[in-house]
Amino acid sequence: MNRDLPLARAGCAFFLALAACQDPTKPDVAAHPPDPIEVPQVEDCAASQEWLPVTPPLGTPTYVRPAPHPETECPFYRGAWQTFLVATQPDTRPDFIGEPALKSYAVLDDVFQRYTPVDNLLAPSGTPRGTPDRAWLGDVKQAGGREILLDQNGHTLYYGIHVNQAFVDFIRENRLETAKAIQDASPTLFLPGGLAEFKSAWQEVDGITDPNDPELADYIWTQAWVPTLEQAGDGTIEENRNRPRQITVRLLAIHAVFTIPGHPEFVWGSLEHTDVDASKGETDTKAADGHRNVAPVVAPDVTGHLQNPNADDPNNLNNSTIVADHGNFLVYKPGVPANQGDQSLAEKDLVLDGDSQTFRVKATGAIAQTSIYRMFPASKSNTVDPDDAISSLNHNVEQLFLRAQQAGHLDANDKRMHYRLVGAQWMDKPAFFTLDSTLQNDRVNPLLLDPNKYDAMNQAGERIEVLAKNAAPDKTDADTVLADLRERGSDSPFSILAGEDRMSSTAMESFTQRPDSFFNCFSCHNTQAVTAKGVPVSKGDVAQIQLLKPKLLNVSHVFSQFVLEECGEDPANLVDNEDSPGAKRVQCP
Amino acid sequence: MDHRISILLLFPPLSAACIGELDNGAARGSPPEILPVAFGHAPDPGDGATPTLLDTPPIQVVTDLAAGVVKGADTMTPCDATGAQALFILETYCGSCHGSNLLVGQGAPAWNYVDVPARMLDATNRTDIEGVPFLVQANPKGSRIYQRIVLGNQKGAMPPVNNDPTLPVYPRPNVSDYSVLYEWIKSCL
Repeated sequence: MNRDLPLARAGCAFFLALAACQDPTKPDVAAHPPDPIEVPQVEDCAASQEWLPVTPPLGTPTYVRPAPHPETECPFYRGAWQTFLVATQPDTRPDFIGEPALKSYAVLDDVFQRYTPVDNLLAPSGTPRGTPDRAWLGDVKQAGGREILLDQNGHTLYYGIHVNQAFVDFIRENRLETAKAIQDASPTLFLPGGLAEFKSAWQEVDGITDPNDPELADYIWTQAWVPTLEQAGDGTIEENRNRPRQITVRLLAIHAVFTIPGHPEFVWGSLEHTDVDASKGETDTKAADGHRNVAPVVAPDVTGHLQNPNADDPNNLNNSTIVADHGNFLVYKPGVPANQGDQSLAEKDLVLDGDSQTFRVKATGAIAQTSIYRMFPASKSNTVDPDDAISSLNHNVEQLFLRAQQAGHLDANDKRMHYRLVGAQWMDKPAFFTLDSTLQNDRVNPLLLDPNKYDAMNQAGERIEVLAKNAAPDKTDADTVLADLRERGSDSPFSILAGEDRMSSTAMESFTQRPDSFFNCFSCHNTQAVTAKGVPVSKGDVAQIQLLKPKLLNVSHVFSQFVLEECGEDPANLVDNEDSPGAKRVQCP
Repeated sequence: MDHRISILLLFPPLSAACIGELDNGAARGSPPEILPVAFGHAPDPGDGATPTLLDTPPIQVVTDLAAGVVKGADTMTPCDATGAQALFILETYCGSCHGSNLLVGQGAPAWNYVDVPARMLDATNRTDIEGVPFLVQANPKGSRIYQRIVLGNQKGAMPPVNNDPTLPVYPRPNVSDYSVLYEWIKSCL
């Protein structure tokens, strides 16, 4: 939210070393925390000194429920940054030095029981996942449209889903380990505070293992077991997780998602890689700074200004402006215009080279590649200017890392400084986190249906003011609400959401950024029923095959993804859907 | 003799509107069963004046996780903040019948200390189910308060669900509130 808040730069407390009682002749062999790092803070969203070099966990109750609008959104963004830092902390255990902590977090195989058990294929719990018998990355078809992103080398990206220990404990405590148990779970069972899940996007780096290689030096990277891709006769791409291959991958982007007390809907944070070199005085606080090298933001219009897609051309189909004519983007080819970007290739039009695991265009034989750009530069529906709190926090974290690096406090394997927060999303009015809900500022937004009703909810005064100011004989309150939502987006007092309401990861939701698609986190992660395509019913045909009934748990796709994998595609599991005559639903055995 | 009855008889004006239908504690030890209202029909305090949890003192800038939370000169530890929030929820939704400002609260047995956690933690204070205290440290699902609140609109829920349109409609906590209460009992008592 952009608002004039007093700067919080003053008053930062620093740790003071207590040296008076030490014996100066005695060797100091005790473990000490590094000296404090003085960080100049700007704007209103501070980084925490204790985040480096070893980031403390964000488990409850160490994190409080931040206040909603009109207070600053900074604490939510801080939570996203901290959750990311914890998950990507370099491992210091002798056998796994430098590995990102995330690699040892539980994956679906670890927490759920499959019909065909894989326990004997897995690495020991708490160690980096993946073995020669079982991949830990995969899911090459993106959520939403099940489309495949192809980088400039003709490779797919590989995606990971991980959860923290609190999430594992929750699943076990509530006996949700099987697909049937998930389907049978109480619709009103909710996720308590302290849970975190991560979706990560990794790019194959052909044959490189030298950590000093420029292709790896500024990335979180690792050796990963990924599924072997296969192509069926009809062109369908399939992945075999039990015949993995080990490749070098680097982290392009990650969703760091967490619950806190009062927010069982999750706070959805997203980060992506930057090529900025802060040691040279460069800075990257927002996507439009030109350093996000995964994909560029949409090009400025003829007036030289960035623009969100407009109502006349919501999908940029008439925008033939070249997004970027140069630059080394990882999932965008320079020279591709906007109206040819963010589009996938049909599987039947691709040919997979099984040996190199690369794709070519069937018709031409050329390396197949998709070009992705960010449609909403600030990930917001109403503006191209990012939230000041994000820019401020990105700057402060950048400075924190820079100072820590200069002071020699950072592990040589610590590459976390090369990532930036894109944004986050959560519910500003979490009282509306209810069953079978779209969780959107849409036509069933309670504050649109009855804008005068919730006079004890936050921003009530602002709502009354807006309604009174715009009252006119030819205008309904609903007209006013819609106009205000269009103008102020998630900052509107009528918004049930907060944060970036048009946020997608260019590496993970590459093809669904459009306003008529899955344009923000809750458009896919809500409490409605989930279809056998893994999306909410609101985004598909209601008559589609239903995978999960409406549940509060449906905000996490950890559950739906597992059910989908286990029994979503077997026709033998289809039964009549008693809630939708004529339709079918999946019933896991 | 059931002295609960005599207490109710002594204070009929206080009891009539607040007594909910009691259940047999079916949810004891089971996963939380809650039934939030459908989208578009979110809980409404109804009286136009009842504050919600959103009116609690705002907390803005976390400057030192170890030290807690800072806003201006005020510092709160996370559990202080969560506790304040939880008590605010209990007072808002339960206080009119079980608050310590009442001479005698409602219920069977009657009780009036929803704003006094120490008394709710005291296992000698009976609830409607023998052996299930109001609050059990680190065990939300074993706490009678939590069990009944998260029943939502189901039988035995608190605040009581009135299907009779002539009776008052009580504002109800929501899922967000449940998660605050859950964390408070689990980690902060």
